[in-house]
Amino acid sequence: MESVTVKNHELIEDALEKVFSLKDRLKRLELGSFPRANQKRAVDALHYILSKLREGLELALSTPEKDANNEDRKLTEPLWNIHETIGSIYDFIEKLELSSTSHTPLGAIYLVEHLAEKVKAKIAPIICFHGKTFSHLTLNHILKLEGDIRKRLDHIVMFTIPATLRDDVLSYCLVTRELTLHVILTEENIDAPLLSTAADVLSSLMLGPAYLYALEKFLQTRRTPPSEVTPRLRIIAKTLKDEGYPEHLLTRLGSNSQAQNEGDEALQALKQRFKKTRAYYPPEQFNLEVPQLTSRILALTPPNEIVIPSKKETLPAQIPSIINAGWLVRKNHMNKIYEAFNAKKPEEKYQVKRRFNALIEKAIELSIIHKTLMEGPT
Amino acid sequence: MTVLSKKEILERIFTENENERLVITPLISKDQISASSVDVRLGTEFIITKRTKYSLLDPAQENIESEIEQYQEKIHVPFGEKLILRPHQLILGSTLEYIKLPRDLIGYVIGRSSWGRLGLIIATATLVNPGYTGTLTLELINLGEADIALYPGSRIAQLVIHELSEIEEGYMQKPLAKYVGSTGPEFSKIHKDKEWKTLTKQPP
Repeated sequence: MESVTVKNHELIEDALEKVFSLKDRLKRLELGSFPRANQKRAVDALHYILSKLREGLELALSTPEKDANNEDRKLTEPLWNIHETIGSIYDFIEKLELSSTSHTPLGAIYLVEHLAEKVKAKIAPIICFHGKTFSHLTLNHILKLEGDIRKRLDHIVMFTIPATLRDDVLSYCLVTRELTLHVILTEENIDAPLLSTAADVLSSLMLGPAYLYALEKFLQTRRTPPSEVTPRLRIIAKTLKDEGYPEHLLTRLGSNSQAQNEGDEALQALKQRFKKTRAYYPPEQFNLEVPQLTSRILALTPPNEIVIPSKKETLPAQIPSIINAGWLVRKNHMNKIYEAFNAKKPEEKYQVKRRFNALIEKAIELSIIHKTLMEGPT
Repeated sequence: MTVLSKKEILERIFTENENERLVITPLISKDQISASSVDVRLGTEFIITKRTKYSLLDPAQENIESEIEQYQEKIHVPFGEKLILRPHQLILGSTLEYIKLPRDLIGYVIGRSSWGRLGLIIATATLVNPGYTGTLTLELINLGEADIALYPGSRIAQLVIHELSEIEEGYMQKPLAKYVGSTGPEFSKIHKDKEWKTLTKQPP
């Protein structure tokens, strides 16, 4: 096989050019609006990485040029790695641009930040709508970082929601599965075959029946064979039934839902540990808040707070309660909303659905602001 | 028409009778309600004016809706950050609170004098109809000579509520009324008024 001569300086200069170009791009990003602190953190992290790359490349450029063939991997490998990292930074910046509020609905940003804070305070989530599937990747994983840099940037995680769900605020909650997967992968010792089930189980504990409804609807729109869908939904239904949720909320899956026994012990232990964290959404909270919030939506009022008439007080509603109330109205009472607006034609119904989604998004925002204002300066 | 007192406002907010219930949400503290009005806060969404090739906004003109949307742009200022209002600039904001008036109440939005003294004029369209449901769009103009920083969540205006002597058909009873259920500032829908064809002598 013919050997290929690689001129190191050419590769270094090329990499440096891309580093400068990326720095310019980051500057333009900074001049735009940064709606959330997490995006700013990610940009700062990228600036830091680029400055390290620049230092290394400039040092390499100052040493005499050597020719290398592809057998001399010691000389070429680091440079190819740098080029790969640079390519990944380009991809990451694309997603960062998509994560601004001009592209990403505010409800999604609030929801993910809130849920992330519940599962793990250290996560700085960045969210964008892209592609067809849910995913999460840490900046470390994307850039294959090592050593001190890795520790410093461990908390920046990019969550991706399928672009087709952009207008469906109630389905955003499926991102919980990515959050719980992230926690399980970083903090738990669960066997790989059980990972998916464990994430579904923890997501149900975090969101209640809303997770089941959202997942069922999402899987309906995909070509997933029923042999894969049904067992998954049954495990979630079983988890919710064990939690004490009434059967009529889980009817479509039958009251005799059976969970698989495989790995039950490990899952039970995981469930018990999770239920002691603040990410757990207890059914008592569901029973206390969801009926009132459902009535509020039917009265075309955002389901953002719980009214306590005896004390003449209001309290911000829990985010999972808002999502559950939204799902229950959507599944059972949407016709009442259409009637309230006298919407009969498909396009009129579509317009009403948009208002309904906006009402839920508004409720998420109001609940978070209400809580922040009640708590005062921290 | 009598103005509702603090006690009456609280009774209306916490009544179990849905037809009489006044919704102002979130109601973060009872201190928000003074003797005869409710303080409302600034929301997080705004509509700002852009410079475009369109120099004339003619409500009777065809396609005016898309022209208005090209002339204006919706932006979001997160809670905790600020928006700078330049001298003589007009922007549309909205109340953070979502309001629902029962059929026997009517509201007026008025600015707070503390802001007025800085040059900020709030809400030129002050009437809130009986049965109205949604956030209230505020027209914010800086009449002063210095920039003014606006913070979402700050108390920006007051809502004065009156009881009607006679109940009229509510805003919600009209199907898909223009601004019902809005959750942020809305672009002007003046082109939807019925009289434009008459005023411009177009065939009906």
